[in-house]
Amino acid sequence: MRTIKALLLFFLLAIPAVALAIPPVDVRVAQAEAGFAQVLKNTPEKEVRVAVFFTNDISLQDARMALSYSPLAVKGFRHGTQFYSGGYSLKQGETLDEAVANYPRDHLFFLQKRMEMEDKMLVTATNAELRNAITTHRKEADQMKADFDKNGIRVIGVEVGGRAKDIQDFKDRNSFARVIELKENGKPQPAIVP
Amino acid sequence: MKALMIVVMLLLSLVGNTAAQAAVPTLPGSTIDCSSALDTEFVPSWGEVFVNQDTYVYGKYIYQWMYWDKPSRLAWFTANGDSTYEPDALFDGSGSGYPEPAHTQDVLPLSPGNSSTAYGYYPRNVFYNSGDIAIGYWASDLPSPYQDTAWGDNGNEWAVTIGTAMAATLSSQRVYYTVTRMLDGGAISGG
Repeated sequence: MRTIKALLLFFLLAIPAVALAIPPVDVRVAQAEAGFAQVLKNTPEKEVRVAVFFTNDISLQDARMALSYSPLAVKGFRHGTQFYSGGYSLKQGETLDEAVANYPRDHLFFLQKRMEMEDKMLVTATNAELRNAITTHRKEADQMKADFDKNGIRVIGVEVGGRAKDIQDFKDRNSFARVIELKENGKPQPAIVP
Repeated sequence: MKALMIVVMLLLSLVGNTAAQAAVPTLPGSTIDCSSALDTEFVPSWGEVFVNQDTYVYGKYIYQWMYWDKPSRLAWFTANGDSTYEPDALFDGSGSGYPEPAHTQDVLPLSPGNSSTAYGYYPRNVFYNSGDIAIGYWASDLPSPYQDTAWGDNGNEWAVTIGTAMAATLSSQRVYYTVTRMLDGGAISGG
């Protein structure tokens, strides 16, 4: 067992300002469509990385089924609503079936851990306003847990890699696929929530 | 093995208001360091961090909670509507208090216990794994959250970050959280 006694955890609350990083959704969708259309037209065989965001949320199993009919390499999934979001990026060597099993397991694990920790915060919080805010946040976790118990993971997008023409084919075959957005190095890519 | 559990309370105190406002970038996608901005205009008034490991592969994860008590503490975001906000977590095993400049752009992040990878990290090398974060689960209720990549960061920063792409829409009097798995740097704290 290796021990580093002087492990220091510190947080640089750095705030990089990214000019025009994320435009309004309609503008972002239009830009994404134009960007991918150009790649598809000029270099349909080119291997690219994209996120495909959906018109509505679907079950993880349905997403997995849709992907099983395509040659695309699955890199990750996205879930969420207007109020919270997240995802699961496949680890190196992890199969799609393993990821489909691990994703809901982790979602539940981390949700329960959050609830446990926020219960502890409520015991120690002395400031009334902060305590109220934590209480509200804790109730939101309850709702997320109820949503998960009822519906499981609801997928709103997938991150995939493959030839541009195969990605377009995936979109054409699946009516829930709303927009394809190229992944650009260094550019934040939050989900486009239905 | 005794489970690692560290709870770090971040009681973010105010820092002197002597620095000048940071300049706004002029190019799309450009990044500035806002450390010189007035700290009371973006630093949360309360925060808590929890790091731990579990029995799963890769095993380590980090939670962050943050809270701004009044709108004035969000003033910088309001004034810079295109800004993102990235609460980076950096782990340091050197005891120096700062990440060591031990890494270059192109090394593989496989030096357990070394420098800022000591406990956990996101892949630093943008070429590693084709730039994928590839660490498994992450989540947040920050507005428009995303996994940050190391693109454009300094070579010695192996930050673990879930950021918000819409920092201007952060609200005061509301708790936000992030959670993410991270790659295991090999070290444990020993308490």
